[in-house]
Amino acid sequence: MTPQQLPCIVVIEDDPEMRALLAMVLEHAGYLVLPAANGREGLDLVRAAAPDLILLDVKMPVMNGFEFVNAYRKDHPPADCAPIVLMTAADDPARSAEALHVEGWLGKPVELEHLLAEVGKFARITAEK
Amino acid sequence: MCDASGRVTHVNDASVTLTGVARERARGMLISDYAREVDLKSVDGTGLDVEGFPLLRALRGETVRNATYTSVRTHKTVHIRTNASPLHDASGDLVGAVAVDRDVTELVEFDKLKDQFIRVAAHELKTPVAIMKGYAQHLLRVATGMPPAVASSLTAIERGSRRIDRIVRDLLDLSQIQIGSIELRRERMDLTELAESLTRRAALTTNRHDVMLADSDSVVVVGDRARLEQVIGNLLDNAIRYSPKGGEINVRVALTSTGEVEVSVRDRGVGIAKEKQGRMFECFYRPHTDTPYDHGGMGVGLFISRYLIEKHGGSMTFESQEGEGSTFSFRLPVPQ
Repeated sequence: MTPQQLPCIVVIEDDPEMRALLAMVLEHAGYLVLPAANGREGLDLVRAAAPDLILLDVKMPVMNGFEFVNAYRKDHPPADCAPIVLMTAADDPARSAEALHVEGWLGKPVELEHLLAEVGKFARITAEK
Repeated sequence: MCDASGRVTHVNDASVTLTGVARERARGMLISDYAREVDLKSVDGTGLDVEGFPLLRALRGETVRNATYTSVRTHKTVHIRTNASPLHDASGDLVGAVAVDRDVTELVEFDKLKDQFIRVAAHELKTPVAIMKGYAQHLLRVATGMPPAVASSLTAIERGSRRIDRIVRDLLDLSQIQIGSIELRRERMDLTELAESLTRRAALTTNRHDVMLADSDSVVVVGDRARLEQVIGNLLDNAIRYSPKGGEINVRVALTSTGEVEVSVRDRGVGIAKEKQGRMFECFYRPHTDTPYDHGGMGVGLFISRYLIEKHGGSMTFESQEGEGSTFSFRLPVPQ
């Protein structure tokens, strides 16, 4: 299988160690991971590659998660938008996810089992199309 | 001060400064009018009913101790702590009431700063904990052929980070309770199924206890699944922790004759001494401090649990006998 055929996940997270951990776990599980350190870098990535899923931190410098979602949706027609899973340390992650109309959420600190289950819901389905 | 007819007879200089109501204006005023003028608010910013004004309460015979209010009438927000008391003459007849106000603005501001510090510090801990826990979990999942000592070290790191995670969550819950900002989701959920899965999960964490779900009714409630999971999980943790010799732990979900549902967790553990039972739901109270059963912890689990249950419109109680064990139960309303 070439890397192009692997389900592709853009991981937008500002903490370098957290980003490296997410990349390591997801790559091990069989995903192609494109890491970005903030929303701005994330936007550049999703313009170049159409990912199957976007894993998005909320509190980030330069461009935060909320700003990223708005910019991404402005750029892409709904049919071309990849599902977004929010990863947040907020007190009520579900509420943040509802407010942004994103497809999923994970509360920090994330359990790896939950991470893989949540990612699997979206990335595999679209990748099998 | 006021007389028995409820008119202000005296205000001192300090009171004028605190309330912003001039002495000449205040004198002779009906307390209810004076209360409207002073316009006290609760510390959370909601308006105070005139009937709740300390001097009026005192005039009705009540002694008010250390009630804290906020006044925004003067150029800046002032926090006032009031003690008020009825005044009687030698024959015991009510002749008026007196209130003593103290400016506690600085104290209240410090308290807010402390809460804010706890909040920020706890939030900042989330990412490093996530990193520790995540790497440990990942290595435990994927690395094969690890020497047992390495595997057990990783397990210890994982467990340690879980404990920090628990503390961080408790601190955040406490600060949210403090400012009244915990909001529950209200969705229909199967309480019995939740109790069953948590019982099963708890059983996996111990080999000394028989953790079992007793014959239970199938009950659907409207509530916050994650929060109810937190409460039942907390009761199960306590039951296991304070039953050092093992034994049965029974979870039961039952409809009551009053149309509520009761979830109970019963253990055969060390129990709670009678003289300590009255304080069990106090924040930071740890009944087993300096006993052989002192397993640490902040003493906030039951405080948070009871708050969450009451927020659901329910109630939490317990029965316990030292040396015999305890049963902690909560009741929730059942939708028709």
